Amino acid sequence: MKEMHLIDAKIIRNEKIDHDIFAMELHAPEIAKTARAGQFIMVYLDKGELLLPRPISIYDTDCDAGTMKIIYQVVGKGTAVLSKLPFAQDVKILGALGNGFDIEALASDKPSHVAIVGGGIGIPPLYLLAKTLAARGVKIDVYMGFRNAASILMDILVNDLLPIANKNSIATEDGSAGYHGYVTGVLESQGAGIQYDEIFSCGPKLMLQAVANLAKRVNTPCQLCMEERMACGIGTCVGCVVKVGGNYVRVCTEGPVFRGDEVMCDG
Amino acid sequence: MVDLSVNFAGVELKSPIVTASGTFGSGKEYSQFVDLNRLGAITVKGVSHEPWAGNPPPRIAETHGGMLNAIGLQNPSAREFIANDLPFLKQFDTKVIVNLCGRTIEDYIAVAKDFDEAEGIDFFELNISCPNIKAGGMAMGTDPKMAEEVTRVVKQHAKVPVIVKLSPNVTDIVSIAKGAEAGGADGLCLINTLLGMRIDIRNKQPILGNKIGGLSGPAIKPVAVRMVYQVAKATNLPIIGTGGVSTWEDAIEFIMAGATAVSVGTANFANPRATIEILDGIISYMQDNKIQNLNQIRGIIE
Repeated sequence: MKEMHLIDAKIIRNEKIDHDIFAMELHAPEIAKTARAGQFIMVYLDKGELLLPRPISIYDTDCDAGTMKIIYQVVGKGTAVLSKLPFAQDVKILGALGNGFDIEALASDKPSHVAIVGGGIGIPPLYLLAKTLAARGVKIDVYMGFRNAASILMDILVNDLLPIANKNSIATEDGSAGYHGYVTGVLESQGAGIQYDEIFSCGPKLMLQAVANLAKRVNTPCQLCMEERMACGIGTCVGCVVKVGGNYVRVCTEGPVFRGDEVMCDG
Repeated sequence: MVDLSVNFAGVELKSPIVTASGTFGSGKEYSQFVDLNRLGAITVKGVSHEPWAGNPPPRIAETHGGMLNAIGLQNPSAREFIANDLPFLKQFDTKVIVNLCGRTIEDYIAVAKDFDEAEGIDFFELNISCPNIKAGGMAMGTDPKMAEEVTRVVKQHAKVPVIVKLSPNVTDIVSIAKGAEAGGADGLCLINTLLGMRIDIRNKQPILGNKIGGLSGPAIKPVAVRMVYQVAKATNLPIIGTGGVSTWEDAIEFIMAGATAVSVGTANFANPRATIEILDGIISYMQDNKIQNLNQIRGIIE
């Protein structure tokens, strides 16, 4: 069975980094030590009428300091409560959960070249992936899509990824920065002619579907990190399903990372 | 030392705390946070004779003090459960309640018979809230005669005591409880979820893929306590009280209303250690109030 830890983690930092996006840093040595890229934690709100914990992907870990970082968007009441938790308070978390990206899928006997493709708030779990892959000598081209250039999150991510990525390409829907259009557009134009060993992606379902279609067309294996409404996060409620090979499978346990040629992105 | 044991339909449970079907898997995941040996029984996720695919997502929607679910009883079949989950449960000194579901009377017979050779199960729990496809999709648990019939046929094929889990989506729960009692039920479990719905007003769509789902959590607790109280007064069967139990005070309420045991469901999601914290709370309460055995307060509400 997977190793998971239910702990009270001290909040080291919880601050707004963009208009509805927050970064939280937690002291959680047990989880920081074992977490892999693409895994997530459940955050318990302890807030009466808001019953369910919130699944949030792991942005970064620091094993030496025993800390981990999450980046989340305030999308409803639960994340609003989370955004108001003060410094030094304990918050109950459970992790690390899910399968994470399969980096063993990359050949170990030759240097790999991969594309990492993310959209908006779907990008954070890809940072730990990029860091992990870079440490293994993998050449990484990063493609990121945003609504517009007025995104501080974009600046932060570009800045964090700069030292580890071979190439950082940006697409904005309104054309205010980088490529004008969707991230799959910039991947298609700038990635043309490059035979990637693997494509890793996280973002909105429509984007993931477009990435899966593109990967299929260019005959490249791809891994997609999915999201679904969850209750337990550990496989017991069977609430968070996506379709894989005609069957419903659990995002929290068999996922959140699925092979692009197996998972249906439209539910 | 207080005596936590309870006698449920002739079987001794070491404590009154049980888990609710569909909220605890087969115990494996929670065994990392909870000493399963301290639980009176584990009610496993519902199983059917054939695999059930389940409902389209989204299957979960949070509500004020509760949650809606429309999982559709997805499960890989009783055979798979016996092969993969039962061996794990046998390692623990607790009772195992197997929740059975079906869409026809024949389905229930078939799934009950799947367990003929299985060792290590202590009870069946009949989920009679599923739609009966031979009765226009009406849930068996909404008609006293159907409830009686399904209970009777399963009793004929069951090698363990049968608990009937009652649906609250009825006008008169006492009449359904009496139907199950007439059919030979050994015990009752109530309540199942209350049917509910949520709408995403931005997309103008129901949130759940199945449109409607079952409401659980603290929001339904007063309804559950009321129904346990009414049924306990009207039948002689032992009752597992359930519905929104998340604290030891909730559990004591159910016991005072007449429940023999109390099962914890949605609270497991909100707090994976809920079962044990509730049990510890009951022990402190009994010590503080010099209660030796829960029989002293069971059903004390006139």
